[in-house]
Amino acid sequence: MQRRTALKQLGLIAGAAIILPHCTSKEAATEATVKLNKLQVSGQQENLLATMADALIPKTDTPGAKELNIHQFVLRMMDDCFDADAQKKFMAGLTQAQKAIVHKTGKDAEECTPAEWQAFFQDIEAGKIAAPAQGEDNLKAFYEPFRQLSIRGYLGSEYVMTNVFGYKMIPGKFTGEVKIDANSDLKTILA
Amino acid sequence: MNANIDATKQNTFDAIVIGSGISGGWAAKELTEKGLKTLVLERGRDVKHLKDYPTTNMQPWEFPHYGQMPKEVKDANPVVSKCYAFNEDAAHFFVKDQEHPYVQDKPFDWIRGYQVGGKSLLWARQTQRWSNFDFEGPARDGFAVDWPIRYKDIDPWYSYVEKFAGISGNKDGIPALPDGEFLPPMEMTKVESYFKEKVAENYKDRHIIVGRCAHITEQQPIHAEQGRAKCQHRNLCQRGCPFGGYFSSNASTIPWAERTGNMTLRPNSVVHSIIYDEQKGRATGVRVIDAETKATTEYFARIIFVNAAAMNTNLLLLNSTSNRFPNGLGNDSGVLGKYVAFHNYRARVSAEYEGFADYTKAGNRPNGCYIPRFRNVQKQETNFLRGYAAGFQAFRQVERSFDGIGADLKDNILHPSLGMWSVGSHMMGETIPKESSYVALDKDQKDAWGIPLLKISMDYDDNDEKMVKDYLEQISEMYSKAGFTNIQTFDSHQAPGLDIHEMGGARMGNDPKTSVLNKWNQVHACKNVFVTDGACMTSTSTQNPSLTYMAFTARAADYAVKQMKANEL
Repeated sequence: MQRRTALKQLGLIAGAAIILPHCTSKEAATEATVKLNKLQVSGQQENLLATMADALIPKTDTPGAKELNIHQFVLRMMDDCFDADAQKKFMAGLTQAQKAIVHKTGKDAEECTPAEWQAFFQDIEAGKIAAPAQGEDNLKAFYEPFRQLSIRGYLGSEYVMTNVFGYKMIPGKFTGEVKIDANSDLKTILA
Repeated sequence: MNANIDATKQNTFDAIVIGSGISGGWAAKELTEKGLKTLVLERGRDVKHLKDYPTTNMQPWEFPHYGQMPKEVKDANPVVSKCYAFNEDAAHFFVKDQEHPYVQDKPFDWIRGYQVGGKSLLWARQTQRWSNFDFEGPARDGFAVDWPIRYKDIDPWYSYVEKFAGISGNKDGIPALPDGEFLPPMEMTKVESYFKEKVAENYKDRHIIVGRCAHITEQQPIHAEQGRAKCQHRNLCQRGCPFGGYFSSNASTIPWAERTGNMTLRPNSVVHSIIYDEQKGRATGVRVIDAETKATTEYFARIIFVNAAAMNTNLLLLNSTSNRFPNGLGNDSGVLGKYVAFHNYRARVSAEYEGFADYTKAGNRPNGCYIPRFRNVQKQETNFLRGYAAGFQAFRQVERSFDGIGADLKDNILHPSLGMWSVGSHMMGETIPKESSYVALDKDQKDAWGIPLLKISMDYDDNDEKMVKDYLEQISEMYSKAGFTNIQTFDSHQAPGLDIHEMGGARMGNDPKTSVLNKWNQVHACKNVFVTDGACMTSTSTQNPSLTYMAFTARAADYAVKQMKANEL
């Protein structure tokens, strides 16, 4: 992988900077900002996924998933590292989730609050969302990789690796025995 | 006519080195330093130190899939995908399955690196010396043939290559694992040191030591001269090191050879065969096919070093046929390609330890601990021949909860804690070279350069099965005596090859009737051809082999040049 290509794919080069289209109009059919090879994802679906990821991992005193573009990592991983069946179910499950939250809240998915999404995720995890009357139930086939990849993307992000965990590419040395106590901070115990 | 003479002159060197990996790099360095105009042929592309390490300074989050290989690549490359280091940061240094097919008569995962530097960019950098117990093995235990050398013959050459390469280690004083010219050792963790003590208390002949590895832990003038600095413990070695902290041909021997002004490096040069001249009774040169244009060119030299990596060296010698050598260069004995072997890396034992909860480590250690062979060392004492060395390491587990949704989930994942110590070991078993284990030219299939595909046929045997069982039992027992809990044993049943320690086929020996090379790594029947890579190995022992290839190469180059000066070659 050429460094430049890799950076480009991550949107870290100025020309490819990711600006999320804050377009919530259902009529405007937009394309996803992340370049995908296999998945067919619209701009609306990408935004929806960003909203969901941000509900799963919200902004607190540290950035949330949306600010760190974690939904793009989720899509990139699903696009490149999963088989066709998993991809199909993921996309079908995304649509199913969208319909299910509309059914649950009576609101458009785009208008649901983070709290509503969080309650919805809780329902999914508790198995409380009924399977669709017709067709396959792909909700878990979407939710499980979505959750897992969001967490992985978040923990591996530059912000979290450097600011929270103190990752150093060049530690300079290795110390075999480091004494720690209960109050040792994260950067010490993960060094 | 004149043009032909000019072309021949232009293509004539004092020496030709085939391959630029860990042993070819050493051949290049030694021969050029001794004043020989040397042509170094590499079948792959050029990889220049620093310049051609595209991922070396990439942060983990800069990789599109955080290091994981895309599924399409994995599916298209089932063999190389099994290698632990075939990830987004180093995949460009590995041969892809379809680019270079081979025939698996029996399952064999052939892991290759076709570029200047070869696999020296990718190796695990463990550098343990052989002892006399290893060189005496075949004669004592009645397999293969007797090694034509003993430890005393190679001891000074180990020292010679260690000083230049930079080997970190501790002088442990263990007979089965001779000490070398060491830079300061890397540190052990609390539980590794504890295990070392417990094993010493319980067994008089078993030792836990920190691995000896090709990392500069204290820069000496010779390393500064190479432009190599102290290892910074990035533990990202497989990308190529911007500090030259570990030894590779690219960082060390190749640029060193280049600076002599005597080296001509020709990448993209696939060597088809060695040319043998019946009148002269010697090899005169090599036929090279340009990897890209497929044009054939001949190059000539007084001596030829074959360092194409063990299996490809066999392929090249087998493909070098003439009236004198209809079955491959130097193959009067008929053993060329036979008696190949590998290291048995199938087994692992993991465990946990609850003590020392107030200790951890800081930084990364691109190295592990090592358990030198303790079975059948002084005498035969088990129901299997030979023995195994083992890797060992102990680090704290990092635990985190993935429960919750929203702020709760975030709080959980951002606040990991240290769990129990996680303890692990892997086996490195000696396998016995047998006549039935062989590589040969496939009769029908050829590669894109018109060279027959290599057919590989080797497998585990009953001795290996017994050894796996013993390793699992003994390490489990050692763990128990140290109070480790949750002891789990694994046998991956992985195919040979994934150890990346394939050896033999052109073995050394005293008798030309049963071996291909003499005690100077010289082809018995064609004295100006030297083979100093893994193909020369008469037996495998348990140590990671690269250091021994380096020492063999430096020793053979010294001998070759002395012979040339004495007009014996």
